[in-house]
Amino acid sequence: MAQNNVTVDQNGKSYNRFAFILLLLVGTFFEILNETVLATAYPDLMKYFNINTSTVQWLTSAFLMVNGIMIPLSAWLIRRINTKWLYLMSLVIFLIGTIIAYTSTSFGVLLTARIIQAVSAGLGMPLLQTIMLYIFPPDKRGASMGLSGLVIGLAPAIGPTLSGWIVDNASWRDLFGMNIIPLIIVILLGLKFIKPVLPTEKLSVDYFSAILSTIGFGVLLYGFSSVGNDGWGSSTVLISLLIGFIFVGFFIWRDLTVSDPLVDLKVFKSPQFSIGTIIGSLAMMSMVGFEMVLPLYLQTVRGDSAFHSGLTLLAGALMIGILSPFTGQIFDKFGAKNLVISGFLILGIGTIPFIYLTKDTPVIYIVVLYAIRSVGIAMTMMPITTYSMNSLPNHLINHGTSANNTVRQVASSIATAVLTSVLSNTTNDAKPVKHLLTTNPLSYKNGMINAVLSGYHAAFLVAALFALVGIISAFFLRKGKGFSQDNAKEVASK
Amino acid sequence: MIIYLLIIIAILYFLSWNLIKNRTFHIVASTITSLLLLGAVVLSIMNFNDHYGMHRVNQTKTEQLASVSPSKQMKMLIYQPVGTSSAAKKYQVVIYKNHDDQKKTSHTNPDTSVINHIHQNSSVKSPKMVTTKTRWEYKSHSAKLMFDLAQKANTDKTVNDFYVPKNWLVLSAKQAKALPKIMKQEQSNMKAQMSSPQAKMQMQRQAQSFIQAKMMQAMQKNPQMPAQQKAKLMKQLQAEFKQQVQQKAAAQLMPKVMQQVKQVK
Repeated sequence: MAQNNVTVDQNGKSYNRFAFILLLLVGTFFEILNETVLATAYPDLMKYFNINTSTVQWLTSAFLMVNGIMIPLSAWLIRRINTKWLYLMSLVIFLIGTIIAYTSTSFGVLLTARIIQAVSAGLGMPLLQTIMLYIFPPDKRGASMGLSGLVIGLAPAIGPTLSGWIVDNASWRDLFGMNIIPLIIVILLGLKFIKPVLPTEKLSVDYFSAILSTIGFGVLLYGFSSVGNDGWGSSTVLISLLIGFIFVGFFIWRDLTVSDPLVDLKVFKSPQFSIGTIIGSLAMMSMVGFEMVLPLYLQTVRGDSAFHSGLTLLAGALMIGILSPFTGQIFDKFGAKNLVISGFLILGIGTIPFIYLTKDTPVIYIVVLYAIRSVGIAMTMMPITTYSMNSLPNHLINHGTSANNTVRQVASSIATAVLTSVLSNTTNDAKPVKHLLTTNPLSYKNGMINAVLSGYHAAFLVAALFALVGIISAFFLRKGKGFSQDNAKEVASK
Repeated sequence: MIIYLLIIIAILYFLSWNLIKNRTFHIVASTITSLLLLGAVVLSIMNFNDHYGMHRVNQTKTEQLASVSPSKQMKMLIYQPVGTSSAAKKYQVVIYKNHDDQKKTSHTNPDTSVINHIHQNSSVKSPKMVTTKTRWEYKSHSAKLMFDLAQKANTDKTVNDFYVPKNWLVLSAKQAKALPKIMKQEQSNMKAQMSSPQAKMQMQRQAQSFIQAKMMQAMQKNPQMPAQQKAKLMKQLQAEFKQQVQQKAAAQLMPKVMQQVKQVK
């Protein structure tokens, strides 16, 4: 059994933990940042490559799909490959993808570059979490996960603001170009400071599971991401969801019967892990869904530029980043239950005003209320992850991280699908009759704005319901930090 | 204030839920801060959604109205209908000038919050424009203190009433554009009519009887009128007749022109 509070690597050498963690956080920050960095540049890219909206969206949806495919595979990679080389390899792959994207001359090349980036980014988040959980003693895990929350919560939220600013002042290529030098620095420093901290073994991979999980999660995520354009009733969506669920079902069956599974699903036998994963997914759904809908409202109803809408959300994003390390420390002292209940409560209270937005609600209200809501995200997301992981013995942590992240990824794609379809259906139902456009165009315009507003109100109502379900499920949490038996022994022996 | 309140209460909420160890104190403080937060949020909603703390104030402004046409004889106000239904009538855009020396015309903002009426009747002596702005303003000093930072006083709707006398032309933009062409057409029509031999004969006869009648009157008053004076009067009467004919023609022309202009849709 590997010891915790690891200050020596797997070769028994001590290492500089501060530099190690810093490089880990910075590298992963760039990987996650690239998830959301492109949305603002869509209009430019459409013009440059002469393509339409649904084509350009592939740059983000393919990224998320490949990201989702990689997460289940990460558990095996983390166990098989020496941490130092795994992390550096993922950064080099990411750098290659970034450079190809930076220099790409056709849409096909750019899309390939994004897929290469996503292979690496899909590995980044689980690897970061596994390392952070592993190298800190159980009673410090809250704080260490809080540090990763700083990256996981902040990076996707900063993306749109940063990219809006870059697109306004430079070109879309610089969205990729800006990553190159920092990545090279992290890789060079990583050669010295990144150490193989996680135990590895010579494992053969169960290729059959890998194929099942890749097809299953890939097609499933594709299905959910198509809901936005095609609606739930379309054959694309229904067929891909059906195929996705069948393959995921086979994957689960294969996983439970094979002796050395890709992702050990035994982790779900721990009720604490299962409930924690569900609650964590709810927090994720609240965050991702809302972060998608609010900028849409700002841009379509109020006519804000992408940069401005990003700026409106910036205070909230910073809130998640700044508070995460603190909420982590609070978790280490008092456990998860109060944090999570009060977190979902403030999330819910902070979401209610958005159900009543008007077309000219003052922007300062939106900024402050969104920041208040984000406090709730910071209070729930990482603490509940730590709580779930604490129930697992150390050798299952990488499996737990990968299972937890996979469920979250699927949950957030469901949230996005549900919110976009609620938004468009409610809007379509409330649209004014078409002939009003000729007989009374101004009142048609007014009716149109009201219809779109009612769509947003419905979507925000659903987001508030996520929070309500979160509050209710939080009461099933146990008090304390939920250490597993070997963790508890270790903390007690200190 | 409401913004500061939201921030302060959120901080207190965070602290009392998470950092108070004493169980009773924790429950009391958490409950109070939760309710306060809910209260502050509800107040914000009422303020931005329902104008809580505000009331409608009407401001009326009366301005001069000047003709948009360069011609001194034809005073004009132009409107541009937005939509074809009668419900859309109040949203028409009105094109106007406030002063004669204004170079460019002004126009009202096309929006459902801007309503425009044009009043043309005989009781209107001089043209004017009355703008009634309805604004949301804070009811009291304390309400202003509470919400002003978050939401400023703002305009709810604007009603513009344009008053024009009977002798003005109120035309749609299309009609105004068609007007000069129709005018020329009718003028040449009328000239053609008058230059036919029959019309000329008739005109001569009319002129003769007009001048004869007037001459007779003058002769009755002054039977010993010298020939020189007679000739002078003759000329005067001829000019008078010509003017009368022109006036008559003009009076006939305008209704004909208007009839056609009104058909322009």
